[in-house]
Amino acid sequence: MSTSRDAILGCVREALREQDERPAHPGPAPQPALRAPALEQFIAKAEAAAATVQRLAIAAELPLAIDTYRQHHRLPPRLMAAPHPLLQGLSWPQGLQVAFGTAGAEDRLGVTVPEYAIAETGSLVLLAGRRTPTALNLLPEHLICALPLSRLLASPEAFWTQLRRAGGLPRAVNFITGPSRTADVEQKMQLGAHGPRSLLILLIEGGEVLPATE
Amino acid sequence: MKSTAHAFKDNASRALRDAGLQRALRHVGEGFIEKRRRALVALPEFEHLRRHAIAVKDHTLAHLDHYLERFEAAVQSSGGHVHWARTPEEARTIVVDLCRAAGARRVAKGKSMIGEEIDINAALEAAGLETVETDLGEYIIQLAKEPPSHIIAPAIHKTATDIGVLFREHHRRYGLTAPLNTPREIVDEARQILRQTFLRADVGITGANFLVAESGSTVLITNEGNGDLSATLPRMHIVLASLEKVLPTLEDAQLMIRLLVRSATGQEVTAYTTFHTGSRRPADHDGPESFHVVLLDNGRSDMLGSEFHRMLRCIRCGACLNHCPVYGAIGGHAYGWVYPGPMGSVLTPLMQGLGEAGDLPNASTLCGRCEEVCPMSIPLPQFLRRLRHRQHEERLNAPRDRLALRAWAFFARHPSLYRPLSRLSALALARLAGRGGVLRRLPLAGGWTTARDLPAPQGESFHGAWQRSRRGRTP
Repeated sequence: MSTSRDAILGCVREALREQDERPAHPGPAPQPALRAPALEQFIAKAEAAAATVQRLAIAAELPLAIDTYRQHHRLPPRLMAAPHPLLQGLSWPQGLQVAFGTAGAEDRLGVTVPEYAIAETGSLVLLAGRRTPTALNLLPEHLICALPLSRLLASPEAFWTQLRRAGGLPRAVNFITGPSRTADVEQKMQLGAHGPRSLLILLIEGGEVLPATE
Repeated sequence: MKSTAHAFKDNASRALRDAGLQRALRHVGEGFIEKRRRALVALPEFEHLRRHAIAVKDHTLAHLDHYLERFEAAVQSSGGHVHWARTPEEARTIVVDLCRAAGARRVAKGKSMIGEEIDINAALEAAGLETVETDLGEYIIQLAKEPPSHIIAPAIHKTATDIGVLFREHHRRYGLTAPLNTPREIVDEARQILRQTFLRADVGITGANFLVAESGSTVLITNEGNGDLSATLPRMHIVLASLEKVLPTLEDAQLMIRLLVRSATGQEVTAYTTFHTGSRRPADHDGPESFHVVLLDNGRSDMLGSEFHRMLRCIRCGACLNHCPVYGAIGGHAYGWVYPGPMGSVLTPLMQGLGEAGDLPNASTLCGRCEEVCPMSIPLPQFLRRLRHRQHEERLNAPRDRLALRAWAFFARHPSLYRPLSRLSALALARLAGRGGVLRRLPLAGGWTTARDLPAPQGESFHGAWQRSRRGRTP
């Protein structure tokens, strides 16, 4: 509908032509300061959003931590894992069926690797792509995120700077903070609306935290 | 949706008598107001961010043509399409045609106020498309065949009991027999049923909180994750948005998100904040094959540069609704169209006409709380006054109101008549009230005194008291 496009833009230009002053862009916005060291704030905010945070020394500890979680929640021995090198290189316990790919309706437990995490809000940043399918972030009842500590950034702005450096946006950038939730019934917060009911963050140490600001 | 704003007075009276609604409205105060207050205390920088955000928004609006064109170009270069719609009809046609061309049968719908504005569900149903709202609140009111009563919490007028009854009636066909009493049981039931909707839908339709010109991204902010599922699983994703949602950069969007979420639900961030950019990439495992953004005007380009220009700053947080004593008393439905509360009382007359919605700007005490809590500092009380003024200029108010205003204006311009008359009426009212000091009934103002008493004047006019105190003070 190019005629509607032209008509709308024509009206907009007409309206703006009569404006005496056209305010300039104020430049980069101030960012709220972190209230605590980045890692401390990340964990506090993630837990405040009802995520569970567990710290591991190295990635090789992931399979045991995941299987322990699975047994604790009495889930069937099936795991849908993101086809990410961090996960593909691990040796998984016998008896746990691990598939690599995106989630389907029947997947109850999924594990993926966030590209970054944000200390300000306790959020995980998940990018759609070859290594990290988006449906895996949303469909499983239980989502586990394996996060190398070195991926922790202070703010979302620091993330956008990183992403620009890497060139262009993927189809979806999900900032995920805690499990899915709703307060649509009488303003009472309930976890597990349509996405995961529970979110476990496995923090892998052995990398240094990036500086708090770019 | 069809406006019933012309019947505001009847709608409001009915709402005040509705005991169930009054019970449900209590949750507005308990929930939103207190949560927002706490969120602002926790962010001392809020005021600073607010001033910056307003400057960004004012800049963007002043260069709206430029940013819309940049947004369009960025969407196209990420494999998506932009469709421009002047009117709701045009927008409906675009969406229905896209669904038809894709051979779609089922639509999973995320919450969208633009969707309400263009009444998209009715158009999709009429075109034979099975359309299911997937936001829990929207799903509830879709089953109840009602419009949303709040722009953030569409089913806030319903109690858990109401919803339990509604689900039992509609979910019998899915095998539901046990009663649902608690919010937990209701959420679990909806989760189980709506899961099938996401998995089977051909098209996902969502709204957008912001559009980013720099990258061509649409920003979706939800707590449930329903919008993300609607945007990920179906093979086509259609985003319904409007002109004023565009922002220059990703960082600008981030700034607005900080203000929006705190003002809306009192959270720092919601569970899901997603930037969608274009369609599925070759290496992706999932995501829609095609990505479309519908940009609706519907009167917005007329507001631009007009005396209501700053209304386009609105980011739809709902804080003005939550803090409005009128909204708190009558709820959202009484306003009769898509947008209730103070922002609705400005937008509805501008979009539907003052003839239709002239009662709305008058249904305000002009207490000013809306402007105070607005993260974009929109002068809502001033806009409500301007609309009253315009209504009088265009002779759209009732003859009785015009007559009363004319009479008052005459006396106000003639102090030699006004002063003795006001002195007389103050005396008369005080006499009428007697020793109690209140008037339970008043001739010609029965409507006012049926619900409350009028405190009587003490018998002295303001002018009289002023003169007396000046005489007392001068040496």
